[in-house]
Amino acid sequence: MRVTLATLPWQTLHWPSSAVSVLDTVLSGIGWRVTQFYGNLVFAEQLLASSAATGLTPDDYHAICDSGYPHGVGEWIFTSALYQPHWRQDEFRKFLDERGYEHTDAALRLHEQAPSFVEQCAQRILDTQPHLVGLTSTFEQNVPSLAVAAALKRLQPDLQIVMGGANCDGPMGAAIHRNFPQIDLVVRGEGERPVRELAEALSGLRDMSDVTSLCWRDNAGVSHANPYVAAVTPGPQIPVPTMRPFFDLVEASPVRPWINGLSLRLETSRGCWWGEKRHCTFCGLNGGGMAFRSKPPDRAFDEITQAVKDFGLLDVMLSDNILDPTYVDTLLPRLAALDWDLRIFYEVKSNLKPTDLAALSKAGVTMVQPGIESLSTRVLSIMDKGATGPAQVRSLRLFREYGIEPKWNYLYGFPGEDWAKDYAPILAQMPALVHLPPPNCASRIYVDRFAPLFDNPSLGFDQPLRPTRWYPLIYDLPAGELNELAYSFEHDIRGIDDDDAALLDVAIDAWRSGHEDSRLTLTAVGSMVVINDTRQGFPQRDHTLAGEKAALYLMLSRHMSVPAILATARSAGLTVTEADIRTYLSEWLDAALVFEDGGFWVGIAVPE
Amino acid sequence: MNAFTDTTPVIALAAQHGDCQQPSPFTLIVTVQCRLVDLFAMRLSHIGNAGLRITVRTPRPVTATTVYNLATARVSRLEITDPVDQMTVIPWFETAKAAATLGMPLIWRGSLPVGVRRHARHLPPPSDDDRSDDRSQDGWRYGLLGWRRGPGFAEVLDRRRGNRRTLVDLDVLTGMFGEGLDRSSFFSGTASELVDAGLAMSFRDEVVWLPYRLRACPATASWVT
Repeated sequence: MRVTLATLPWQTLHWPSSAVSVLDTVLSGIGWRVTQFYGNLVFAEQLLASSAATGLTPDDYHAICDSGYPHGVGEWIFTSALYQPHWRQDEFRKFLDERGYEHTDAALRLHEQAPSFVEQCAQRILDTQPHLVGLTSTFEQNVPSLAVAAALKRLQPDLQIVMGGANCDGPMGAAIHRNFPQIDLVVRGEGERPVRELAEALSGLRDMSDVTSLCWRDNAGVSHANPYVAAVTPGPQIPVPTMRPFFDLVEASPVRPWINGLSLRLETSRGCWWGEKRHCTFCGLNGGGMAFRSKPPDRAFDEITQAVKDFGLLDVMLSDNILDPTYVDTLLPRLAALDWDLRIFYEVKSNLKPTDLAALSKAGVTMVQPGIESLSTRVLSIMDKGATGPAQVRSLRLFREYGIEPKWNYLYGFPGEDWAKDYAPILAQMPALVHLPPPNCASRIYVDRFAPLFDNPSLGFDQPLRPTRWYPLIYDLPAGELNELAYSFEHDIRGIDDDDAALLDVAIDAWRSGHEDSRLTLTAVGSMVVINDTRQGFPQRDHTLAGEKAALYLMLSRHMSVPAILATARSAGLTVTEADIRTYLSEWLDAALVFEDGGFWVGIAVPE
Repeated sequence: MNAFTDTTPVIALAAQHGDCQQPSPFTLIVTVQCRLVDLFAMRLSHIGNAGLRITVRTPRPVTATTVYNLATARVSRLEITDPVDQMTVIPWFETAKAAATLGMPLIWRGSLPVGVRRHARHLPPPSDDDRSDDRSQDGWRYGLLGWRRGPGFAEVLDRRRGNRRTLVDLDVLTGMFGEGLDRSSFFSGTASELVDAGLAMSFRDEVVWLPYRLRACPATASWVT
């Protein structure tokens, strides 16, 4: 059997598709002949080839990739191919204008380009002479995939087309299957097991109704959805991705000069061990695959090092949702010992210890996504994050100390949050944090499918949810079907209002603009602590602390309540009283040397 | 955070190896002659800076190993006191590259030979009062030209003009420039290719590998920004 696995816009150009490269390994392993088709690269090449006439370049592709998802821009661009040119164009343009979207003109021109790309793409896929075409869809890949599937069916009606990916998980996959007859089959959930079973079914060895979580059609064309089962792949059995086809294509492509920062795309685990204990209320990332599974450290090491050798790339994007904590003592030291100048991205839990950060840094982890989310203890509690505001500030300080860049957004809009209690006190202290890594932006939360906020109305989103505004502008589907197909939902505003959110935006803008030139460094010299302050917005000076004050400030390397500080001080032999401690903390708060929230305190000066 | 420290051994070591000034309880300026600076740096790396902000001043450029030892000791900055001239150009490259690699602020003065300046745009410029006739390093920023060590290859990232990535056989390079690519080499056919590619510079009879090592590579990829 020949299968062509395709990924379409808006898959990034910077690394291979995980779905395509992993399923290649699975299907090749059972003897299928697999072709990987990178439609995203083909689209970027088309933009480059027609650049003189259209003014579009691969940079426009990057721009939509980077900015389009919250507004459905990438999906709308391909409605010209799925439905018709200028599909609800005036309404969508108005919608983008209201959102202040900055690439609207490019989006309109890309919309013009989409139909010819889809036809070209379908023909090139057919040129591979597949018995089966697999389309993977995550984030903004639904409409491009549906459009290409429709074009394939027009050209070769008997071709079997299967769709999978995160957009097909749970009821979303069933809705796609019911509403788009160009899709013969939908694989829901992690693909390894259902795809093997599907291969058996296509070979007549199994009935379609016996393929895990599959959506399929009977001879009359009626859609059937097999019972959904979260068929998670155990860690040791997660396949090694087959990345060679992508790198061969990209290195030979005329758009290669537009791809700065080509990276390996690997996974060392799936699921989330934190989510198994306490599911962050806004997170819908794992769908049915929350159970945490990781590859044995030796295998993770071998895969990373082999890929670096095979492709001559030192940048490694790991798709894990959270770092396996056992890797700190296993995988990371082995990577560090290589003395290669790796640059690794990992998602991590924010409560890492200094020893963990040292291990990450030595191994070449230069960027992380730690899930800071907020600096308010109460809001963090509302979202069940398992952290306090001062703990998050401590994490930012530690990331700064260990030279690891944390990527984070400030989330707001949680039911039960309050401006006066949860935001005003934090904003008052934000200027003091200017030397610590700032958030990218502030974002009102959406309610994502599979998140507790989606599943449990008692958490505050207690009115009927509606798909995010762009869904009805893009899909020609009745509301009920759209509710099943959508991943991201809106609700009447909860939490702070938009006027207050604008104040948060202003504070974060100031943080970002002042960050680069700001330092607040600490050295302990002799029996003194010297804090050198060159933060923007503060007088440049040294703060010198001596005796018990110096010792107490050093204790604030950890976030603590006043009783805990007192207990720690007493156990260290200091004779301070609670009143002394409160006096010092008040002084340091005035001098912007500490952060306080919810009765917890933490020092913010970064050890040199 | 740091624990309290004892500065006495650091001050004693500095006094043993050079002239020592302590303008404040937290800062130390140590002037060390060339013949002692390597030894001083090695010894200091074993005991650290004890929280002091230490400036090490020395007349001539130092080896990459010495810069590494000073960085390990968390010395705040290194100052070359004699003007860099034609005689010290080659060792200056070694010092400047090591300082850039390790994030060690380097203060130097003097004027690089005219033919050399365009090869040094990616390295720290001289202090402001010594550069009235030479603005060639005005555009200096971290990461303009560097290399990263991989298995059997050096990945060179050249952002001096545009954004170019090149892989070079590491065995070839280490054979010429040493394990750290910080020694100079004699001119050869391979060196000539590197010079033509803008990755090495020939000066008199010697060739210098220009990129410095990017241990913590600057964030530039699109997924970073």
